[in-house]
Parts: sequence; C-alpha cells; structure tokens
Amino acid sequence: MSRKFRKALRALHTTFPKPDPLREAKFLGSLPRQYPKKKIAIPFLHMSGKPLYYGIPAAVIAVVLITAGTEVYHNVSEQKLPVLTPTETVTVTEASGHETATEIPTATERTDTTEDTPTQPGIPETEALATMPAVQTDSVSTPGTDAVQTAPPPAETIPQATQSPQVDTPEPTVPTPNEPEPTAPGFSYEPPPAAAFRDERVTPYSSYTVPDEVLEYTPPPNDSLPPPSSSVPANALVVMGRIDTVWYTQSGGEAWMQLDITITQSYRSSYQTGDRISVYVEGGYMSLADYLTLHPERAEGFEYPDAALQQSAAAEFGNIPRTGTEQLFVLTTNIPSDVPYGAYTGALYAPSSYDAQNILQQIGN
Amino acid sequence: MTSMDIQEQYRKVFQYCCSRIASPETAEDLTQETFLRFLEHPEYQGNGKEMQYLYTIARNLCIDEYRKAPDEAKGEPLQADRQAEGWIDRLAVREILDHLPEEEREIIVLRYVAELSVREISHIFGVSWFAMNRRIRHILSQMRKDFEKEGSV
Repeated sequence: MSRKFRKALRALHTTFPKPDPLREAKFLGSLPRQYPKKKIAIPFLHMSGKPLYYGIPAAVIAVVLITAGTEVYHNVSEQKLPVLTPTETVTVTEASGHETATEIPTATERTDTTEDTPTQPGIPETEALATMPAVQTDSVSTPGTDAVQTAPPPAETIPQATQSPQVDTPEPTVPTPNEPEPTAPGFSYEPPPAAAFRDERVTPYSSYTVPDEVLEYTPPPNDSLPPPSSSVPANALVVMGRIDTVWYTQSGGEAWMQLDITITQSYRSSYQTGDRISVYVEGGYMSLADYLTLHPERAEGFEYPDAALQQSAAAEFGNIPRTGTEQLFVLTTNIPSDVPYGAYTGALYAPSSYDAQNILQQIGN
Repeated sequence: MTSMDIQEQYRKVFQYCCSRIASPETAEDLTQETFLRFLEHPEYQGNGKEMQYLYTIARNLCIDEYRKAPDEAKGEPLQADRQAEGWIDRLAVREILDHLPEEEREIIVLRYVAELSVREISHIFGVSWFAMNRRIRHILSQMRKDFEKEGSV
C-alpha cells in the first residue's frame, strides 16, 4: 500500500490541469523580446537615486589606485627600479610533473643549484641574477614567457661588478636533446599546481549515527528505482572508486547511504583518477522512530518506549560498504528529488565479483 | 533566469496557482504576473534563490487574489488521465490532499507538484529545515493513513 501511495504522490501533478498551450507559448515567446535588458557596468550608475555620499568609498579607492599607479610609473621611468641589461635573458621555466624525453632538472633541483652557485659578494640578489648567462630551455619553458628582455638601464644605476660578466658571458647554447640542460640558477617560476582534482562531493541533508541497538528489517523492494540489472545502461558511468566516507541518510522514507568516493580508475566517464564524487545507494541505517513514522504498518508489534525508538536504528541492508575498500560503481543521475543535486545513484560491485567482470566486459575492458 | 527552465517552471507555477485558485484563467493570469514580477527584478536572479522568490511571488499573488474573491479560492477540480496506470490511486491521493488544511495542502503541492526542495519550502514559510521536514513527514503520515483507509473500504 505504501508503495502505491508513494507512486501516486509522485504523479500528483497529473491531477492538476496544464496551462493553455497557446497562452503559454505566446507569453514565453514574448519574454526574450520584452526582457533583453542587460546590466551594463557604468561607473557610479549604482548611485542613481541615492545620496551623494554613496559614492565616497568608490572615489577614495579610485584616488588611491591612481596615485599608486602614477608612483610606479615614475619609478620605472626614472630607473629607480632594478632592470636587466639587454644581453641578459631570464628564462621562466615551468615546473611540471610530466615526463620528458630528456632528464631535465626540475624546478626544485634548479633551486638547489642556485644555492650552490656563488654570487659575487656584496651584490644584491636581484642584481646578481641579472648577470646570469642566458640559457634557453625551450623544451620546458612556457610559451610566451620564454625569454624576457628589458631595455638597458643607464650605466650608473648598475654596480660595476655586475657589468663585468657581460663581457665574459658565453654565447647562449642550445642544448641537444641528449645533453642534460645547463642549470638555470635562481630565477625560476613556480606555476600554479597542476589541474586540481574535481571535487563534486555533496553534503547530505541529514544523516544518522548508528546506535548500539539495531533492529533489522527485510524491506519490500523499492519501486522508485529499476531493479538491478547485469546489463549496463547506455548512459551509465562506470568507475572504480575507493570509499572514503559512508553517510547514513534517508530518502522518501527509505534508508539510503551516501558514499563519498575517490575515483581510482575511470572506465566510462569524464572523471579522472583522484576526482571525488558522492554516490547514493539504497540501504544503510535510519532512525527507527523515523522509520516507523513513515511505515506505520510496520509499527504493529513494537512496544518500544519513545526514548528507545529514538536511540534505535532500522537496518535495511546487511552488506554495508566499508570505508577504504575499492568497488566498481555503475552510476546514473536518476536521483530522488530529496537527494542533494550533483550526487549520483548507483550500484556497487566487488571488483573481483562475477558481476563486476561482466560489466567491465560489456563496456569493452 | 538562467538556472531554471522557464517552461517547466511555468507549468509548475501554474499548477501551484491552480491548487489555490478555482479558475484556470485566473491561475494563468497569476502565473504570468508572477514571471513578469520575477523578471522585473534582476536582483532575484543568479543568487541560487530563484525558486524561493518565484514561489513567494506566486504565493503572495494567490493570497491577494483570495482576498479579492474568497469564493474562487477553492482549487481546481481534480483531473486525471484515466488511461494512465494507477489513476485511481492518484485520484485518491488528490482527494485526500484537497481535504487537508490549507497550509498543509500548500506544502504538499510545493513539495510534490512544484518539486521544491524541503529547504526552499522552509525558506518560503520562514521556518527551519528541520521543522519543515518534520512537518512534511507528519502530513505524509496522515495522508498515508487516510489512503490506506480508503483502500480498505
């Protein structure tokens, strides 16, 4: 009976009339023409109709920024800032975890080398760096930032000691692919970390902790989801994932679990190893008090006081996935309406099971 | 209005209005007025609270309409496609719904017809998520009992 009730409830909207299609089409068709308004950012437009003092913070910020910009401009134009000589080339290298054909030292190694490279005593580090021989590292340099040359400064602004290496600086050499690249001491560029892993985990709306006393049920089959099938739906994602967290929650009066997983292998999805997602699977534990409220027909025969009910749980699934284990997940986006958006529903299989092997075979792995 | 499907919401807002206003024509007027008011205010959009604003506008318009003509505010007579499977159950649930107190009926319509989340409904009614969740469970429990009674007759 409760299944029929749930089904009828979900189809409740069919008992209400639908809008007149003509009126609807006419109205919706008029919307784009009627509301093409786009907000255009015009300075101080936000002050329209407001007192003048609303503009004071913006005006103060504008003055500060203009002053700072002017100061920088004057410093640069009067050569107060250290600049590089024309024959010097500073190479900006990119540290990346990708393997390359030649063993090019990583940025960390180069930094270490810098410490070993003697700098001339009494020269500030920025100036000493400016005297470095040019080194080309095309194989690892970032396009567009390979070499940066600046205009020559007046001689009096650079200490004599820093100019001498210009004479002795050897011609830039291009390393052959088999040669280890000369180290570029000092000036290295730390790029942002490699593309971060996708983290699409969600937070469950509610969760239960499992008390000591658990009353087990054999629930009726849930008709809200299709029965598990050994065939993989065409639009289903298939990934191997490690279970990081198990949340016990409920959806539509049934116990569900939210599994936060880290993908260890993607067979059919756009995810990559290391990405994190949340998967809802049927089963788990929920509060017995809540369970009996939503399943009053099952409350008969239970003579628990309220306090005991509040501290008890209904178990609906004997095989609770353990955290830290790897499982094969077949995922769909067919989530119940009261599950946080972004999560998947899915079925999980032990990687060594027949079902898992069968699924992998079906998708060509 | 980028984060929701206008056409789908049009149907849902209309059905919500129908649950409170007898005349479908008036309900459709209110639906269109709801969207016009919603779209007139860009500040309602793009902050993740579009649904809350949309249904709050619809709700207020329905209340205004009720004040103007209280006799009309009885809800649309129930309909069902008798060819569809389970239509008897749906009609039974709808009848139970129509006999619920006004506010309880509204909550169930927002949850299962407009398909708002419990959080969005709790914002519309100005109560906490927990309170709204508890209330929905209580209403469903009562409805289920009535449904089983009707089934056993």
